[in-house]
Parts: sequence; structure tokens; C-alpha cells
Amino acid sequence: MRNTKIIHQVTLKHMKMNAKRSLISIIGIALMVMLLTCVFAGKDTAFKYFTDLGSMKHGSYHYAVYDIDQPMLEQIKNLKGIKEVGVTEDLKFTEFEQTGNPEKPFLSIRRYSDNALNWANIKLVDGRLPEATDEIVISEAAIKEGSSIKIGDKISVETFRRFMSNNMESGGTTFSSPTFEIPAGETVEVPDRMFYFVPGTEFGDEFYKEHEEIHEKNGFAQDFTVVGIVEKPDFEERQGEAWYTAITVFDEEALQSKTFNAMLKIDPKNRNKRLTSELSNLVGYENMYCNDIVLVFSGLSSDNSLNYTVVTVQTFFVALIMLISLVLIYNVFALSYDERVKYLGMLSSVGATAKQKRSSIYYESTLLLIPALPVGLLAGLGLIKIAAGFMGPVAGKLFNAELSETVINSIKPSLNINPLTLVLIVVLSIVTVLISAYIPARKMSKVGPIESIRGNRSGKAAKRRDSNSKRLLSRTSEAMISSRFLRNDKSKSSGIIRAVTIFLLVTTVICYTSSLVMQMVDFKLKESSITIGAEKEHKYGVFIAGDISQEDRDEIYDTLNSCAGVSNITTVKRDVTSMLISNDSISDEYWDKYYEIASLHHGNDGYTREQFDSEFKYPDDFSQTFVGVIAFDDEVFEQIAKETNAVSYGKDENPCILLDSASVSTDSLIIFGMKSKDYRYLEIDHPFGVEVGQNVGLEPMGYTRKEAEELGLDIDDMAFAETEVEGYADFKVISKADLTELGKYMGGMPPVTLYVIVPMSVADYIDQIQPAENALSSFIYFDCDNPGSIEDISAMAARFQEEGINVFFSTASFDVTEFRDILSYLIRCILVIFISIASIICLLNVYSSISALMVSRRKHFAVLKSLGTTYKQLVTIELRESIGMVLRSILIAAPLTAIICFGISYILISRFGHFTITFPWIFILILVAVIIAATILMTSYCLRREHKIDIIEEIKRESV
Amino acid sequence: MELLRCENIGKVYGTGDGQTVALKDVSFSVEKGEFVSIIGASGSGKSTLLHIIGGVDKPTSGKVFINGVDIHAQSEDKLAIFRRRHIGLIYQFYNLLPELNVDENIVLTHMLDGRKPDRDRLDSIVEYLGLTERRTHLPSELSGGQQQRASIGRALFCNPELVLADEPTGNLDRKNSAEIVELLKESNRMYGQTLILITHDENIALQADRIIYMEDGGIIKDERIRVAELGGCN
Repeated sequence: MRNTKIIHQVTLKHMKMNAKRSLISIIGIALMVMLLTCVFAGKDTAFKYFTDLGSMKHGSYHYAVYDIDQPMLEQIKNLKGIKEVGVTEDLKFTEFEQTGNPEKPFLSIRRYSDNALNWANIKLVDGRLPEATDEIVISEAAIKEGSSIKIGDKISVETFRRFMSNNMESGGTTFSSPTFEIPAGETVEVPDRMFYFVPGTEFGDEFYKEHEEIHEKNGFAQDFTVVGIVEKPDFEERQGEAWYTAITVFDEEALQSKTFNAMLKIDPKNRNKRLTSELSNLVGYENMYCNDIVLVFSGLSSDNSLNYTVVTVQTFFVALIMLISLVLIYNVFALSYDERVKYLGMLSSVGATAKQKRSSIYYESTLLLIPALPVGLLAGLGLIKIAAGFMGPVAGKLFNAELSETVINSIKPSLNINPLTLVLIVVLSIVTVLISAYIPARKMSKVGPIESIRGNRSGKAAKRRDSNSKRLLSRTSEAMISSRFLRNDKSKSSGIIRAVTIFLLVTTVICYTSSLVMQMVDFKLKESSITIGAEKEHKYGVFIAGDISQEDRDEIYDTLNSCAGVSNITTVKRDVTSMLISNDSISDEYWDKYYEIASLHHGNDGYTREQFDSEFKYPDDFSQTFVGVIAFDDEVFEQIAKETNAVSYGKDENPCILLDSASVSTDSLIIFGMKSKDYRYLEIDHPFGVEVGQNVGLEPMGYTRKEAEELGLDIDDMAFAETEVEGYADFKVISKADLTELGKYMGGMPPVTLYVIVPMSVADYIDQIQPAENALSSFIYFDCDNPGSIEDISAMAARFQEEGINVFFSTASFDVTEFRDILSYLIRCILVIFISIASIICLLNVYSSISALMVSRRKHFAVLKSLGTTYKQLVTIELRESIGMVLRSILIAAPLTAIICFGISYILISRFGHFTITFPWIFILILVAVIIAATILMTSYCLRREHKIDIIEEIKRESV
Repeated sequence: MELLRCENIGKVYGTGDGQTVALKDVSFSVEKGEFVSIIGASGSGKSTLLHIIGGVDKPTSGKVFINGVDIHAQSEDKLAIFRRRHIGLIYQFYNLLPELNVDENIVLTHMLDGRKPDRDRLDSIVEYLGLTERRTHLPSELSGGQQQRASIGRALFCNPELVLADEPTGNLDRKNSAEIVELLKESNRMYGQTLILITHDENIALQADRIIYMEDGGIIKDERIRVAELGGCN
């Protein structure tokens, strides 16, 4: 016991003597703890904040299930992982006498259980939420549209279902939004979103000539008092519904309908990874909604790959933090081996046991950990707190498409500290420190008295090699000494080599993995989001959806041209599903990759290529695929043609450039009722099977009058039907280009849709041969520095909309930020911070190693100086040695990094699919330059310090 | 012909109450080719004096002239260059660089001066030192006597005018001590180098041409035993 005390005292003294090194170690460990805190508590805080924000969009529930019955509800409640259930009942409609909008004469009555009301994110504008079953709140939209209803009013509710009958003898009536049909002579229940034909209007009178709206009472009648006005719920967001929302509360027992909806909350402590599929099996995939924005930040997304990403990134961070910390702490002990050998050997000679000697190392580790742990924890929490301060504006930027500024400002990010997380951080830190001390402790426990007396070195004696006298005579003294230091003093240089190797390895692996993860996230979250360069180059835009008369189009251009301050007007036409291409004109690669994805959906049910071909490539009725069209101004198109080495073409040949990039993924290829367990994304390098110089046939959607007659169809009753071209129209393929080649004009990810690029003149031709309703949408981009003009343009768009013409004005970039960007942005931020802090730890490690090397070289320097070595020569010797060590580190790090990167990419590719792997060569070159520069600077600094040593004092020491 | 002149050298370590006077007003000169022993008890200041003469330590007062050059008036780098060209230092604990083999340690000072070592000279010195079989060995693979020989080789290779040996036999047994002293005497004779040797072994001191006795940081006796054989062969 006493002996151990002495050992600890000596250890403490040793630490005090090497205060600087001990301090660096403490800083390193504190940084490790800080990083661990950031990874765990930071993630918790950020995710809690974003979950709160996400809840403001759709609510705080995790899943919603629709059209379930009581037995099904019981089954859901019994599923593993379900914590709470809230029930909602749609009682359908009631007359709304106080409406201010004749197109919306109904109230949609919805009843919520208490739970559901709390989770549904119903935002009060005035009054309060209903507390009793005879209280109700009304959507603010009703007031805004002129309703006289107010808080305190009484309303009588008698609910009904809406039906419409078609009294015609022949010919069904088809509606496109919402899509449904009333066959002749039949009565059908209309979709909830069905609009209302106002009697007395042109459309209404026309409709009621042959049709009728019928209301069938469903047996619910009650009087309510209006107690509050709420923001328009997101399910009421679409335009055209015939109703406003009215919400009341109810007791589950009082369920009126046979089928109802439910909101589910999951139990984070009792996670069930298969919950999504179990729910899907129970209620049907089409009858459930995963509130992914809330789920994803809980690591419980319905999508396995998103959960996998969250867990992988976290594990990856923790593993790397522990690795760099292990090396840092191990180095501290390894570098001071010689000094320790002396005192441990001495202690051994007076009877210290191996265990007591080991305890010296563990004691030192503990002493290093004790101050580092609270400092690191506090620093980590402080950093999270500071970062949380920036989260608000970031969230504002990220959620601006989803939530209003007021909502975002109403939620403040606050530290989310789970005591279990803190315990985990402490345990991980202790484990890291103990593991890194284990090897040195074992080694030191073997130090005997004789090593102390001899002052033996840690490494094995350098292997003697016969000196090459020719080489000796041809070299400078600096070259000779530095190479001998490198070759024969491995125990000292190995610390630096280890530190530099870890720096290169960790930063390269993080960078490489980040690039893979970012690609993966981009593929996963932004797949098929093709962008047009002009979108980002202009501040404003007017979007014209579909058909518009030439007169209206001219008016828009005239307004833009006449407005002061409007400049750089550019038009791009674009549509995703404009034309049809024969499946025979699509490449085998395209079908092979589609088959691969379809097989994943099918799982292990023996889905064959023949089955796939008969379902997708050559189905009986429709062996064609949609093709999108992007049209640029003729001059821009000619420029693209030139840059893509297009073949010559005549204006009347309908030139087109095929976009030689496409993709397919388990998300984009949806097979009803099937969902692949894992995400897979495949890029298609050459989707078209048509060669440059050949013609590709594109068919307009719809039929010619003649075709329709042959098929027995009444073209006048069909929407989007009439076209003037029979069969395929020919377009000459003048070149093929992928997104990289078209980088100046287009960006984003390879799209799911096949695209052809055409000049505006050809786009006009397409519009001519297409049914008018299917005209290409126009995006008119422009810049403007006159606020008055912006108001005029905005007013013009509003005027068109009032007339039912789809003209929209956008005041900002068209690049809408969505939920997917949040994750992408978050990961980028975290990676940058992580790389920075990890680099600091690694550089601290390098500094600590260099510093230790220089201290251990004191005697060498003293001897060299006594022999007449100048300072410049010492610098040359040490810099040569340092660079030699860096080069050696590169040689070690390169294969290790390659193996790790290969392993990571193998795992990710096998999990997520094929994607382009770009090795970050430039980053690595910068890293190498940084580490060489850092090593040179650190060596010079440490050498300058050591240069001031007293030669005599060092010379007097027993031996080098 | 005078090679070395020390004028009123004083050396004080520390300040205030902790002040230690290591040397007090030491003055003497040494002729070229002379073999001088400095003898004295531990703490008498002999090693301090040697280090000041060798330019690795600075005097608190006084001057050291070698070939008429006030060595401590030079900048640190110039003094380093002067040291490697004119002075050979031999230490009690050899101070060989452990990473360099025997050959490399011997030619080290010469190479530090930017000169290519002469192969024949290296061969002859190694042979003269009896280290032919140990040329590629690292210091850790040598005995104490062999290490000291290598350190003598390093001091002699540049053919310095002044060789300073600080108790070169202090760490060796009698047989090795005798061999080392013989080597130094031989080199003094062969190469005409001036040799100042510190020892507290009177028998070794007596082999010099002159003995300087030191006590409490001052010279108490400067006794010429024999006339030096000046010149020698180079």
C-alpha cells in the first residue's frame, strides 16, 4: 500500500516536471470528451429542436392510419413499440350557413380524442381549443373568406355524405382534380376534396342540367358553441375543396363511424424496427402516413436507410473520436518511456511489483482524465449552447418552405441533456483512456532495475547495417544524421509517425466518407431533382403552368418588358411527362437497372426478368415510357449543341439532345403493395437506345380524332385527348450529353424521367402537336431592382389566377428548400465541425510528439552543438527528419486509408446502390501540404525552444 | 609559440545567496604542442575551465584567446564553426551519437564543417584506434573503452590544434585508461596537437609536460614536468 503511494507520488512529480506535455494530454482528452458530448448531446439537442419544428408542420405524432375499424385499432394498440394512440373521426359535412364563399358551403366536421388534439398541431388564432364535446373551433380560412362566424356563436350540425349523380344516358363524367368519374346513370360518393358547383353560375347551371348533388345524412346531429378560431390545418391547404374545417373533441367510446383514423406515438424505449412494415401489413401501405420529419430525428424513420444513416454516422463519429484519442493518449505514454524507465526501474529495485508499476500508468491516466472530463463535458455543452443559438436562423432558412417565421421563432432550441447520455459519454471516455494506457502499462510493468541502471531504450536495438562508405562520403552531415535518426531511433520517431499517420488517415477517411454519405443523402433525399441553371442565376420568376393563350402570354411578356428595372428575361419550357417514347428506343442498361430495383421490391419471391419485361417493358396495352422536355432559347440550344459536339442539323429536322443521365431507385420505382427493405439507388449512364444522328420517335399524349374513332372513344368527352399527329413524330438526335457536360445549363441529380432537350422553336412545334391542355410549362426568369415593378408583376400574376389561369410569381429562387435539405445541411455542418475538431486533436497529437522528440533530443543537440553544429544545421537536420517521418507516415497511411475507404464504400454501396466515387485527391494534397507545413512549423518552434538549452548541463548527463 | 591564453577568467553560477563561484581570476597560457594536465579535487573548477576554453560555456569575466582570437567575442554560430575547426573535445561519458556507427561518429565533426571525409585518413585513424572490426557498430554495441576510442577519433579526425579531454578515463578500468592516455599522448606526439587533459588521477597527470593544480576555482600551482616535444609529424 505504502509502496503504491510512493509510486503515485513519483508519478505525480513526473507529471509536474512534464507539465506542458501533461497539459497537452489533458487538452486532448478534454477535446475528445467535448466531441463525444457534441456527438451525443448535440445530436439530441438538434434533433429535439428539429423534431419540435417538424411537429409544427404535421403534428407531433409518428404515424397516422386511416379507415381503420375497432378490431384493427385494438391490433394496432397491441403492436410492439406503440406507446399511445389518439383517434380522429371524420363525420363528413354539414351545411355552413355563415359561409362567406359560395364555393365553400360546408363545414368538414372532425372529432379528435384529447391525445389526437394535442398531437395534431392545431394552432389557435383566437379563443381556445375545445374542451367539451359541445365545443368546436373553426378554420381561420372561413373568416378570411368573409364568413360572419365568431367566437360564442352557436351552430347546429347535422352531418351528411356527398354524392353526385349523372343523369345522362350515355357518357361518363370525368373529373381530373380530384380524379374520379361518374358513369352515366349512376350516383357515386364524391372524394372529400371535390369542389362544389355553385347554382346560378355558368358552370353550375351547366352541371346541374344533367347532374345532381345529393346529401345523405349519416346520423350525427348536435349543437356546438364556437370557442376558437384556428389556423387553416395543412389538410385543408389545397384549393378547391367545398368546405372549411371544424374540429371538436370526443371520447373514443362515442365513435359514430365504423371506420375512423388514428394517430400513433411510438415508445422510444421499446423500439420496434419492423413497426412500419407491421403497420403497413395491417392497414395497407396506402392507408398510413409516416410523419418522417418527426421520425427521422428520432432515428425511427419509416425508411430503414435513413435510420441506418443516422446510426452509422453517429457510430462512425464515435469510433473515429475514440481512435484519435487512443493514439493521442498512447503517444503520451510511449513518448515518455525512457524517462519512466528510469524511475520505474529505480522503484523496481526497491521492490515495486509489476502491478504497482502498472498502477503508475493507470494513476497518471486517471489524473489526466479527472480535469479533462468535466472541462470537456462543459466545453461540449457550451459549444452546443452556442451552436443552438445559430440553429434558429439556420432552421428559419431550412424550414422556410414548411413553416412560417412566427412559428419558427416561437420555438427556441434548448439543451437536451439526457442523464444516460452523460453517463455514456463518461463511460466511453474512461474506456478510451484505459484502453490507450493498457499497452504502455503492460510494457512498463516489465521494466526491471537493470533497465534503469543501463538507461535502456524502449525499442529493440537498431539493427546494425554495414555502412556504405561511398554513400557516407558523398552525403552531407545533416543528411547523414537525419537519416540515422530516422533509421536508428524508431522509438522516438514512431510517435510522430503514428500521429501524422492518424491525422492523414482520419481526415482522409472522414472526408471520403463524408463525400460518400453526402452523395448517399443527396441520392436518397434529392434524387431526380434536376435543376435549371437559369433558376439560380435570376432573382425572380413567373411560372406559367400548362395551356395559356398567345394573347395572355404576350401580356405577361409585355408587362415584364414594360416594368422599370426588369432585366435578363430568360424563358425555359419544361415538363416532366410531355411525350411518349417507345420502350424499344430505351437502352438495355435502363431496363437492366429497373429490373434490379424491381427485384429488390419483390424480395425473395423469385421475380424473373421475363415477368418484369411483361409487366414493364412490353405490357399488353402500353409499351411506352414518358419523356420530359426541356426547351431553351434557340441561341442557348445552339451553344449547348456546340459544346456537346453535336452533329449538323437542319432547322426543320426537329433537333434534340438526349440527356444521357438518368436514375432509378427503390423510392422512385414504386410497385404497389411492395417496398424494398433497403434503399438502393442506381445511376443509368446511357438511358436511351438511340444513336446520335438517328431519329427518335416521340409521340404526343392523346389521340387524333381518327384514332379515337377507331378505338370507339368520344374525343370530345375526354380530357387531354386530342392531338394532330398520328403515332410518333420524328426528332433528330444531334448529340447526347450527361449532366456534367451540361453543368452550365442544368444541374441536380440524374432524373428518374428521361429527358430530351430542344430549342424553343421545337418546343413550339411540340405544343402544336400536343393536346392544348398538355402544353409545356413556361418558366420566365428575370432580375429586377425596382420594388414597384415587383408589385406590378405580382399583381398581374394574382389577376391571372383569379381568372383561373395558372400564372404564378416567385419572389425568390425557385430552389425550394425542403425537409430533405435540412438533413443534408445538418450533416454537412456536423462533418465540417467534426473534421475541424478532429484535426485539432490530431495536430495536438503531432505537436505533443514533436515536442517530446525534441525534449528527448536535448542531449543530442548539446553534443552536436559542442562539436560545432550551427543552429541552421540543427534546423536542417530536424526538418529533414520531420519530412522523412511525414513521408514515412504517408507510406503507412496510404494503404491503410485505401483499405478503410474501400471497406466503407463496399458497405455503403452494397447497402445503397452504385454511385460515383470520387476520391478527394485535392483535399488529400491539401492535407499533405498542411501536415508538412504544420510539422515544419512545430519542429522549428520546438527546436528554437530546445536551442536555448544549457549545453553543459546536458553534456554532464551520463549518456546520450 | 602560444596557442591558448586565458586572461582573468571568472565564472559565477546563480545569483544572490545561491551564488557559486566556480572560477576566480584564472590566467595561464599554453604553448602549441604542449600536453597539459589539469588536476584538482571535485568542484575545484577544472571542468568549468575546460568548457570555457572549449567555447561550450561562457566565462562571467575574462577572455580566452586561441591563436590570438578572443573566442567568446564571436557570435554563437561563428564560435560553433571555430570550435569544430580548431578544438577537439573528449568527454568522460563519450557523448557519441547513439544512432551513428563508429565511422559516422568519427567523421561527424569534419562533415559538419561541410567537408568530405578523406577515406584514407578515416581508415588510418580507425586502425590507429584499434576499431577496424567495429567500424559499423553502434555505440551501444561497444565497450566503454571502445566508445572512448571512437570519441577520441572524432576529436582527432579534424586535426584540431587544441584537444580538450575532460576526465577521459574517469569511466574506464585501469587497462583501458592506460590505453586511452597512451593514445592521446601518441596523437599529441604524432599530430603535434596541443592537449589539455583533466584528471584527478595523479599518475595520468604525471604523463603530461605540465600540470596545473586547481583548488576552489583558482590555480594553486602550475608545474612544468618536462619540456614539450613541439612540432611532431602531421
